[in-house]
Amino acid sequence: MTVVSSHDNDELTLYCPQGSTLSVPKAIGGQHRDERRVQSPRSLGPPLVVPPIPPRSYLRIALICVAVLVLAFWAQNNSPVFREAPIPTSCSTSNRLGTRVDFVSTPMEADRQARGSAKLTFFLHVAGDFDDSAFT
Amino acid sequence: MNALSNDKVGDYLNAHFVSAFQKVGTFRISNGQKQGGNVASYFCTPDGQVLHLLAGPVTAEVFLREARWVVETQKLAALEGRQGRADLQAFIRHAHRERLRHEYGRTEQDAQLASPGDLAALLAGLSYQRLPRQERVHILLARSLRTEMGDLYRIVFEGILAESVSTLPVAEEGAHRAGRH
Repeated sequence: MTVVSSHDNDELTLYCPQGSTLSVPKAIGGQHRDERRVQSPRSLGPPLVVPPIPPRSYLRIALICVAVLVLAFWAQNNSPVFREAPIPTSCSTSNRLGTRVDFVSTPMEADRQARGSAKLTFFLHVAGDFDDSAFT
Repeated sequence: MNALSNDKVGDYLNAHFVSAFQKVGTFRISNGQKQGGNVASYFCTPDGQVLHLLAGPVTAEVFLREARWVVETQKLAALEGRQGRADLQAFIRHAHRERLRHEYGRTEQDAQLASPGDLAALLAGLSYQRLPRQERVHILLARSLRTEMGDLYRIVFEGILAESVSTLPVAEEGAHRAGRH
């Protein structure tokens, strides 16, 4: 591990893997035109030399960023998580369990719906599992 | 229950009732043959008061007739302003007494009202066991002091249908012998 830059009181220290180099854009701030010297603390010896970044690399990074943003936007607008499920207005045929009768899921739900629709309730007490024809 | 597969029954039930089902018993499958098991159909108010019930499977024609009787009787009670819980219960008791008298020649008086527990013991008697199921149902609903589902379902399933209320799953004897679980 190489310490690239460190403040005197060690509040800001950047650590890089051994043998790696650090690239800093020219516009951000080096004094030199083609390379920037990063001042290392006195205890670590001579400063490291950072090689310049080719101009084409900026274009590649910008294109990758744009692609990531486009993908994120697409995922957000097409994710099923954000779609509201349709609220059923009546029981579907799948709740009929092989009969012609619409069954709700529980007796309590039947009571609740009957109160709201001025209907009576019908309850079927069975031996076995009514929703599995093999066990009814 | 084949009656529930009938179009007219389905249309009528869906128009006048909200339906649900519940497992209260079990049966045994032995060598691919079903042993035991039965069905009871309850027609109730939304607050759980049983107006009528059918013990065991019936034809679509009988089912439709009974469902219509429930709806028309309840509408008649509403017409007479008998919509309070006690009022409606008394009206329904009277309707079951009428059917007992008309269809079975049996007279049940108000003085013979009994708790569900006493009625369970009564219906277990040999003289009552010989009666048709629906006659016993009318006796139960004409004489019971309480008509909530929770008070009656065990009497119906065990006392009238001679099944056992059980939380056990369906038992497959053949499956166990074949080593499947």
